[in-house]
Amino acid sequence: MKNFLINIMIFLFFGVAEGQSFISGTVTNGSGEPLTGANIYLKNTYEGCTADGKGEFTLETRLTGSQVLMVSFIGYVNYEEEIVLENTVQKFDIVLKESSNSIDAAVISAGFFEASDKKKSVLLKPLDIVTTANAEGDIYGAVNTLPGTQTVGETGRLFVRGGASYETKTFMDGMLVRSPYTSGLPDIPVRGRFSPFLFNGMIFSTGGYSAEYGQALSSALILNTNALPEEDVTGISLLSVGCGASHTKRWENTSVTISSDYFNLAPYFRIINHSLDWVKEPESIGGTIMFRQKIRKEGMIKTFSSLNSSASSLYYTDYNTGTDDLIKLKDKNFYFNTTYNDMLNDRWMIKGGIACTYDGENLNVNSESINDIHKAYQSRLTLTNLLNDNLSFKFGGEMLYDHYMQLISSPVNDNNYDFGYGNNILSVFIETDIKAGSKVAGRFGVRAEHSSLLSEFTLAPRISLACKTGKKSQVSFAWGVFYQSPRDKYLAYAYRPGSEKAVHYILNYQYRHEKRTFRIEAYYKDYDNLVKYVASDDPYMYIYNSINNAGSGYAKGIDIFWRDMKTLKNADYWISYSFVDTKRNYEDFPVSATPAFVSDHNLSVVFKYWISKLSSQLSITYKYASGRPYYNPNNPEFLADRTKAYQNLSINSSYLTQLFGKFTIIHFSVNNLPGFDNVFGYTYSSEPGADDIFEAHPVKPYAKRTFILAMFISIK
Amino acid sequence: MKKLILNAVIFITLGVYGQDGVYFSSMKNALDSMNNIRSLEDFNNIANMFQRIAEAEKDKWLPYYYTGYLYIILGIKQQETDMCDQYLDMAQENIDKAMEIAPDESELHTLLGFLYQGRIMADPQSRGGTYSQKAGQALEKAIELNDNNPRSYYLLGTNLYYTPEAYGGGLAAACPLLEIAREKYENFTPADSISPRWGKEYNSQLLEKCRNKD
Repeated sequence: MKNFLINIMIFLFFGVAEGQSFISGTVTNGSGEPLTGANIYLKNTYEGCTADGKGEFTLETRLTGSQVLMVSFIGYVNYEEEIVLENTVQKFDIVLKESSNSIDAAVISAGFFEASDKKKSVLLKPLDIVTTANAEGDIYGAVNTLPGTQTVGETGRLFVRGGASYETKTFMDGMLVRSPYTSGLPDIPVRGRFSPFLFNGMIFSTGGYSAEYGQALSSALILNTNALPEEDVTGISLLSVGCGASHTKRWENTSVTISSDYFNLAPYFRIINHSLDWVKEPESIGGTIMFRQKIRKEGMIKTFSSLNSSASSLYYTDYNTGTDDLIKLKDKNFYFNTTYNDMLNDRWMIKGGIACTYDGENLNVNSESINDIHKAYQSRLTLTNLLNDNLSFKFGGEMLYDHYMQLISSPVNDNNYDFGYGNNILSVFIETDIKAGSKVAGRFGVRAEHSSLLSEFTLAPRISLACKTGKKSQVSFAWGVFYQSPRDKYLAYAYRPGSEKAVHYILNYQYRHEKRTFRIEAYYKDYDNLVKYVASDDPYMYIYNSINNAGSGYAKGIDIFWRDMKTLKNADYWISYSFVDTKRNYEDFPVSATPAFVSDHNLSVVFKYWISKLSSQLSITYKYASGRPYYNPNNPEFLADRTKAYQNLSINSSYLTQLFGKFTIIHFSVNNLPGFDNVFGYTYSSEPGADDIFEAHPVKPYAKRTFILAMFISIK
Repeated sequence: MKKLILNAVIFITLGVYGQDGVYFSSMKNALDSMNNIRSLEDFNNIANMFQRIAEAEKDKWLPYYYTGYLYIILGIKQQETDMCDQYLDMAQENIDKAMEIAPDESELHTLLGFLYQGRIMADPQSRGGTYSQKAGQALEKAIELNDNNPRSYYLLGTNLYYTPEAYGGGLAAACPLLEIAREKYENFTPADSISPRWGKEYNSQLLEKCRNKD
């Protein structure tokens, strides 16, 4: 009755001729699921409605003539259709396509570990790096808890999937960092040069990485520095091993950060028990300047420069000669880069930069002095054309000039030598990203490189594919060819072997739901053209007999990663397990063997717990690595012996508080709390003893346990 | 049937007040529906309404404002960080459009502060630091543009309330701001019946905690 009355009223108002049109139907996604809540409306009018629980809708309108029917829903591509309204009843079954930017869309993930605090969800956050126990605030230490890495405790460097440490390269804002590690004495682990606080994002590629990067056989660690800081801040840090200060000044579109730090390990080494015979404990002083300038709406210029000087000296027992050598090490390092990023218009993106490295290392062994000087200059330009949501092209070029010099002066026989080389590597690459809806994504690229020194041209094609297998899971595949110039130790002495080569095959399955991630990755890496030579008696290792590229090898294995931030309240943990089976015949290996830096099984368990009552975070890391091969001259079989398994349990805690009204973090960490007795390998005396047996000397960590106490104060 | 009446009302007002009248009554209607929200679907329905108005009235910032506001609430109510971010991205788009129309509108900067707080709630541990600064800056800008806006003070207060004490936050730090917000709410009269007016109740609830503390 009421309806009837209203209808009458409407008729009275508008007359009889004015009719209504009905638009009805359903809104679903590709899998036929109803899209409850989709917005159905006539473009630029008020007329519209919302799809109900079954995805159904009915839109009544008095509008007539040509209209545009719009359907929109979060995570889906808008649907538009021109319709004509003539007091008609029309039915539409609308299927919305999932947006390729949707969170459930396929993304390239084979060989990829991304850490970022950008919105899109990733496996790790930059903060995770800083708070991981055992890493001691070192980026490389934290990356070493991820699958695909090897624990090689005496070096501190990254060894990825059966590859040696030189096979991994570090990039900052796309630019190569020629000497990413601090300078180190034998058997004392090095650290990354740069603080993890400088970066807001990181991609750790364990293989199959983009054609944008080259000159790394196994792995690329790509770091992105922070954008404009939010506000002015002064930071002070006091550590058991040194101190530092920084100041950031922020203007509207500009910022400058200046920081400096000083480390002196003398007091520390006097407290702890250790096996080193220091003459001068490590001391270093350094500073960085960062400049940021925002240009127009999207553009940004970033400049980073750092200067560092360090020195140390100790007595080191040389079991070849049976003497205690006095080793003095001095290092001066300078790194500078500037990058520019901008959108030229809606479709074109530009990225460019220059970088230079100077690293001068002076090593004195007894009275002999060896100067190693590395210089590298790089310039790069990349253009990206975003054709549409599903297709983009990227191409670019790069010039890298690598210069190395070694000066040796030996007062004993009054001889001076100098060695060195300069290599100009020109590269171009092109890459395309294709998305077929939200289900399939592909990346096809190729990189061409020319080395002036080697007079060599290489072509490296790369493919990555990702395919959704469910709403929360996907399978990815990557294949690629990678080249790397031979190492300095050959090129400097005028040997000219060709580039080494690796081919990666990676198959990855990833499942993520809410705050849990499971990843399993199988890979096969085929090494070819590895540098091979016949060992000589030359004690300085400057002579490589019959050097060639006849070396080869393989690495195959499985990496598993599980991270769960959900099950336990206020807790987060991840487990990485890697299995690798690798053998190679390279350098002076007499036969194909597993290199000494490889342990077949590696496990890391990282656990973090936030105690809000104490404003503290507690973090525990357990690491296990099965025994590593070592060369035993008493055993006729080459590299057939294995050390015992490596174990480490480290803890750290960070307590957040206020000190004199300033925000303060007090941090304490202990490495290897239970004091597991680890052996990294053995060195042997060069001459056999009376019983014809070569005597073994274990290589061990310099201390059973190490600790750090630190306080960070920030003043705003 | 409700639809039909609404259409009729729109046509009547169109006749009487012209296009602006339709705008005003549609806004009023959508705002009134906000009083009867029972589920997340209702939030979404009303967000859709505002979105339609916004698209039809591209020179008005207020429909974009409310669309953004509802998307922020929808975002905060999501369980998963990713989903939350997806809604907050939609909110950001709407706020961006509104800010192109009215760059100096205090309410929009306030809403931006609210959005940044939403980002924190999605992932407090890794975002707390950066986004609480961002939120603080947006809210201070809002106060600079209009010192009488109670919502800016209220959100500044909640910003501190949810910041751990170690970072200089906590209830004690928040109370003075919430008190200022209360005064501003008392003296606040919206420009018209469709202008923003939210926040007063929750502000009083938090203030209640301040009183119990003493």
